[in-house]
Amino acid sequence: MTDAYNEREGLAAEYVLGTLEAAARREAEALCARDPEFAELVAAWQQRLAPLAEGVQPVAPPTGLLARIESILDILGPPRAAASMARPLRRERRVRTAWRFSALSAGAIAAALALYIAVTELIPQAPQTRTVAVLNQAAATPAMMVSLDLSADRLIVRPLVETETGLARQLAAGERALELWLVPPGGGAPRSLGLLPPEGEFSIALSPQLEKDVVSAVALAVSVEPPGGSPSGAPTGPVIYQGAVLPSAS
Amino acid sequence: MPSDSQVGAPTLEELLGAVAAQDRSAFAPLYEASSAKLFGVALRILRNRQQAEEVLQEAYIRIWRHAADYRPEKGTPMTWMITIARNRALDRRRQQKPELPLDEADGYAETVDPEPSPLAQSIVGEQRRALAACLEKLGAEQRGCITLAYQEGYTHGELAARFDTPLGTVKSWIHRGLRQLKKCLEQGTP
Repeated sequence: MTDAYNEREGLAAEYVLGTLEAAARREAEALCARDPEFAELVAAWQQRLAPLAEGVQPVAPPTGLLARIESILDILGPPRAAASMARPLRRERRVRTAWRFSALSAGAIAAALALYIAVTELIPQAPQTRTVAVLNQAAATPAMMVSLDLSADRLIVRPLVETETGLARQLAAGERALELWLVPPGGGAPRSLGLLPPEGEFSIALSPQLEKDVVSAVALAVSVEPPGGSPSGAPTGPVIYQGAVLPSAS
Repeated sequence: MPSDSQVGAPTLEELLGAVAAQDRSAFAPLYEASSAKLFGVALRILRNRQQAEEVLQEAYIRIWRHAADYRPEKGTPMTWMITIARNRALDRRRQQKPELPLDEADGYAETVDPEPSPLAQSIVGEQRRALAACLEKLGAEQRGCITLAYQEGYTHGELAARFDTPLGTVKSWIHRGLRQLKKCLEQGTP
């Protein structure tokens, strides 16, 4: 029993405890995914330490949050596996199809980040947001919301999650840039909509033509590019976020 | 089962099962029954309402999509959901470059000062009693480190600053503390 707590178990325990830095957390998660024994260690520690959460006071979340989450669920569709535990073929298919349009390798960076872009249309006089497009990757977490504000004629890109630390540092230092792309229908070449700021919201004027292009686009995507944007006029770096554009009548 | 449900109302396990079966009508009750706890957990780690809201949103999307992965033998539905929210909150906290100023952190640390009684009182149930009893057998610093790390998301470095102690010492407190904790819990009633 004295040897039962080795280095591996220490990693599992501290992953659950939460003391690990970001890189070590990623390592522990990768280990969990490929090593069932390690995953068991993590699960056991989760059970052991779970009562500590009892000591944390509940706090009521803001009232609008449930509605916001439900509107995202409407976009995402059903949970990834059906109750029957049938092989979730349909779901995989849908997700992968949406991702396949790009010939660009998403690369390692995408595994940590890539999520979805939702295109929403803010309809004048109607306060609710109508979503016309969305895509999510396996780890379904909203990454960016792209909305068309038709009352102000702006296309707005709002980050929903923070950029991965390493990349965020490079963006802040001006070593790399994020570029927003529109993928037109019919297999046309992606067209740049501009460079995103290192952080925060981004918006551009929405001409009637651009509105038409966005609504009819196959997808919107964000790639990592050299400072100043893609030198070739086409995405060169990994695509870290992308979202298929769906018909507006959903 | 903990007091997750009221008489006549579906249990969290039933709600989670319904969500896994794509029953959208079960989502809102599941959220209502659990979100305050998850939000509290995220808020305690992030200390920022906006970020905690975003984490909560991400957590419930994940819960919706992964409900079928829940395994009762691995813990209660609440533990499963808290783990998801905690992991998101910890990831978010680790992404932040500047560490929180210590005086701000200190205000939050009061509730989990390395004194045994408040923690023991807040923990009920058999498993909880066992953990509380085993935690109390640890040194005050070990107990404090483990509690602060779990509840507030402190890293080794932040704990070292908080306890004004070399990093190596804090790491060894935690390492030994966790090892002792496991041994104590495995021995059954301590």
